[in-house]
Amino acid sequence: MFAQEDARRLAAVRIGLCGLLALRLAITDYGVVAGRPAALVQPLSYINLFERMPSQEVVTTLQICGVGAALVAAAGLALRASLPVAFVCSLTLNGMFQSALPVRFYNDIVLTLCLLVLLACGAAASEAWSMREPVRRALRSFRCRSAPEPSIALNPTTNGERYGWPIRTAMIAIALAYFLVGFQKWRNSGLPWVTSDNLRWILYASSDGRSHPTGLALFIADRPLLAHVFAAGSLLLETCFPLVLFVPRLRWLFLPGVVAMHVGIRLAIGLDYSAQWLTLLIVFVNWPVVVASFRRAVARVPAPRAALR
Amino acid sequence: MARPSTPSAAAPRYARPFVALFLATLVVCPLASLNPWPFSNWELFSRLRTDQQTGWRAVAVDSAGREHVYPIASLPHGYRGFGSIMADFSERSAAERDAICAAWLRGATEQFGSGTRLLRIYHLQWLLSDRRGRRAAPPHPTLAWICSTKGAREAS
Repeated sequence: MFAQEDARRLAAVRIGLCGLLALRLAITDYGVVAGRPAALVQPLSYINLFERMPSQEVVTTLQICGVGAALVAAAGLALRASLPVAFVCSLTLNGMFQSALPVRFYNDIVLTLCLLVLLACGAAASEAWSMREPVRRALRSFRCRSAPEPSIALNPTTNGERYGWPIRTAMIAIALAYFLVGFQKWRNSGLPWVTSDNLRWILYASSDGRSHPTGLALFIADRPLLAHVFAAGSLLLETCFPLVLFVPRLRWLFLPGVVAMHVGIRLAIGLDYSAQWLTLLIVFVNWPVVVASFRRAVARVPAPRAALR
Repeated sequence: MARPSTPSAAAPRYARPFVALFLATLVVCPLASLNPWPFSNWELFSRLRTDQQTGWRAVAVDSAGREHVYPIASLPHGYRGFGSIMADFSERSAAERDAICAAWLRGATEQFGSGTRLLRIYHLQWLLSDRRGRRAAPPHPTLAWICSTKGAREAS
């Protein structure tokens, strides 16, 4: 948990998570719950603090602030201020959005939890792959001052515990999230979650609830054996996911498997889990190794095979 | 590639208690069935479904007695959650029910005009296993509630 890690890996997680947050805040239609009449609000958690849902103007302001702050945080600028601002905007908007959903939907939960960890690690996440020095250099040259020293001189450490614990905490949180989803299925339904017609009814109900029937959902639901195979596969993936923490090689199997499961759910049921599986990739893939591999590939040198270690 | 670490590279003092509290909350919420966003109990799709389905349908009635299907659940300005509100509608206080009905009736009046007199809310039941081609057979509706300017009234 508290082993050393490369500062660039934490920086890659910062860039990925903050970029994804900016994208989510920009494309989610929070307007559907803005200004909702008080009688129709079922606030959850801290949203109880609001007397009513924020107006459309407040929602738009929060969206603009959130997107801007998330992009600034992704660039590694003023992280102690930009990330908290983006996080608070996200908590408010997603909290009110979740209050309006008939069931609690997970898509943004894993991203939010990982951002919470990133928030807790402070400025460590902005000590590599940051726009701070280029911005400072640009400002100094604009003011006609002498050229600055490179950023590495400000912090000679590029490897340490302070870069490792946020990444491993985020990995454990994601692994626990998948495990707990599977655990709740075992706890509330047991083996009948696989052996009964449960998945078929989920697929039929989803298809019937849409204006046009969903071909993929009906294809699976009409074939009981296929439905059992998919149910067993997803339950196995979820329950065994924590193994990736102990056997890194299994990430080559579990990560594509989970992404395929989410894409399948999107196509069959229409539930968008893109924020969740993108968070998974951002946290689990060793991006500095990927970048090095890419550079070597461009330079026509054989690439290392450690991207998922 | 990596340089040797220095004391400044150590994890901050608060890291261990933070990690312990964070992960403990993550585990306790599902065990205690708590849902304090952004933490979750992770129960979505965990309970067995059957082929018996229930739902709700709202119908606006004008002064001539004509019915117009009122798709509350798919309206753009914040009326989502119709099903979840109806799920515990009868357990709410009369004042709460009246306030909800008034909000829906206002929306119906905006959509169908000032001639809108009341809303009829039907409870729907159908079987997923009873297929008609690529769809389930039409649901069986039962009138459950009537929303008028006087408030919400349970259908007898």
